Amino acid sequence: MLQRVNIKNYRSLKDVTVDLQQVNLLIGPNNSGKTNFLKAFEFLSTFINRHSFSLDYFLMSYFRMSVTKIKNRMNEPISFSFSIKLSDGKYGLYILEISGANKNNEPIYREFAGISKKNIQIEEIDNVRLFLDDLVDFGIVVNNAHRWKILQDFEIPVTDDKRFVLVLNQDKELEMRKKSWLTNDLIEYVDEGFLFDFGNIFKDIIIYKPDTNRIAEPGKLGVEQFINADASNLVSFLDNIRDIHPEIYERIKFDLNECLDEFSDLRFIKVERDGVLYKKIGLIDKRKKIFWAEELSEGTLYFLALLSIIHQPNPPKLLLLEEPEKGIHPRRIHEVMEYIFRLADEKKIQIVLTTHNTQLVDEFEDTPQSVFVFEMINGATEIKNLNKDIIEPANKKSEETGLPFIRYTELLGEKWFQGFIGGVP
Amino acid sequence: MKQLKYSLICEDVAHKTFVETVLPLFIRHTNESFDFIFDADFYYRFKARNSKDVLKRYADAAIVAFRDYDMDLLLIGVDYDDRDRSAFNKELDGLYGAVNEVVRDKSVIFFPVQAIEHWLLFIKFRIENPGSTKNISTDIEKIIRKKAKVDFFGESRMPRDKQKKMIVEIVGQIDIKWLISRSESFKRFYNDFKCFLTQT
Repeated sequence: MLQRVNIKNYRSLKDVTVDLQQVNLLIGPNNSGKTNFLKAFEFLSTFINRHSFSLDYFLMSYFRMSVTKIKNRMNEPISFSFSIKLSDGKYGLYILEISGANKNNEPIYREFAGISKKNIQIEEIDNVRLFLDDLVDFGIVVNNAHRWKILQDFEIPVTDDKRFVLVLNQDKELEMRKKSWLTNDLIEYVDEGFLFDFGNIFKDIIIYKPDTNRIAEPGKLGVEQFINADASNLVSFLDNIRDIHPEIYERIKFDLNECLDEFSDLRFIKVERDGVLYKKIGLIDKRKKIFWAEELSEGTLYFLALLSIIHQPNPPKLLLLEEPEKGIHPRRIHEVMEYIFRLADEKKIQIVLTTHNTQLVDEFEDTPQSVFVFEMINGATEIKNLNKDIIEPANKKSEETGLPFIRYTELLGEKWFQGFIGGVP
Repeated sequence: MKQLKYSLICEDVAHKTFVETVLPLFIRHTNESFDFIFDADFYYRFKARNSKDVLKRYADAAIVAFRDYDMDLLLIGVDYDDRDRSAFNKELDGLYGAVNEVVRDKSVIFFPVQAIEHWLLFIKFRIENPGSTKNISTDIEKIIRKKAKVDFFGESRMPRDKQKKMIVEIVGQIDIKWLISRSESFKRFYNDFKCFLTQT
């Protein structure tokens, strides 16, 4: 699970640090940087999973502009740092810095990966970053599947007294450097568990924003194994999954019935358009009446898409969802969120949600540490943790001044709307 | 000149414009010497849209104003919304009672009967009838709110910019002494504000 995240100079995120929880909620006015925060994960996933080693090519295709333009804009390096709680109880640290060009006008990126027995603190991330500053010409080892293979071939010794960094020099050769400054058991060894956990977290990160207009459209005959960002291939996915993963299909049906108990089953029907066969989807209610996609509410379609995203084979370990309440009746939001919390726990999925809905915010009354309040200050995104940066300092001040405590988490959504926790237009 | 930092929690742009315009005139009228600095950050953070909004947040927002913003004065504006004036004092005392006692002295509530447009109609009447000695209090305060809005602005949904312009123009010509003698609710606002100044 991702823990501490620090992002620098990525779009409006000039320098932000957050401590993520299992299910996280981002709130704030429009254009305060919530989507940029999600896009940063998407960017990193694309970077980690890229097939080409050419940074120029990657940046050009990601930012859709010429390399010269990108380099001109990169006054400060884009940087991502993550600490990760691994399945074996240890902690992983990953740092990526991308800067425009070195003195020879060559693109530079530097990556760092390591493992610690104890939770990594922000000062330690800064220590590593300071070290990186001395290594302008080097890329540091790293997570890409190909390069991990090199790393494993390198036979890293796993002993307590050996602390090291691995560097890839300009000639693309690996060397290992022992570094005594790596104190506090920060970097010990890199093992397969880390590679597995890390690779899984950043595998194919997609910002899901199901488009209910497109979900209702008939889909191609079942070929899709994964749901795409707007869930427009939902019909095709469900049609396919019914045959190749019937257990998943049954689970989707079961959960649908559990949350929307008026529906008990799904149906598909072939339709022909311009000589091409498609399928459309329908839901069957208790009286065995079929409601075809175009007759279903946005909320029902959205929920079906949500179930499919979570249950798809090898679901993302980090699920990013924009405004999951869209189209859902306010009275259903509680049920949908209960379901999201349950599945996050059951499937060990970490979830980051954005919302503008006060009722959805209410669902986080008991977990204010999972709420992040976004504001745009002088063109830069500022992120505050509701518990650590808002409630605790406010309570401390109340104590000092003799003023009563404000019950921030009582009717939390309303408190947000009224302006008490910030993040309002 | 002593500077006082203040902000507002009120129902709408009419409330805000009224207070911003009348405050310097109050100071002049009381022969005091203060420079009022408006805290826009606080105002926009707690900006309300109607009386329900104000009533929900003003008590806790007052705590935030004096705890986090180092405010000297918080003005709270909410319309009385009733033609029957008999419960006015009791309701206003109730509103003050909800503000924590530590910060109550620094909070002034304006509570026009029935709405801010009624105070504006009073001022307008005085401008248009400077010599009149008629006690028009009952006549004006009995006008239903929607009609008072139309009577003053000429339409029920006047754009904010136009509203502001009209209010600034009218309030700039306020006869404070006369209005105190005609509107009990305005008199209470003026007295509460004066009381705050004397304590400061």
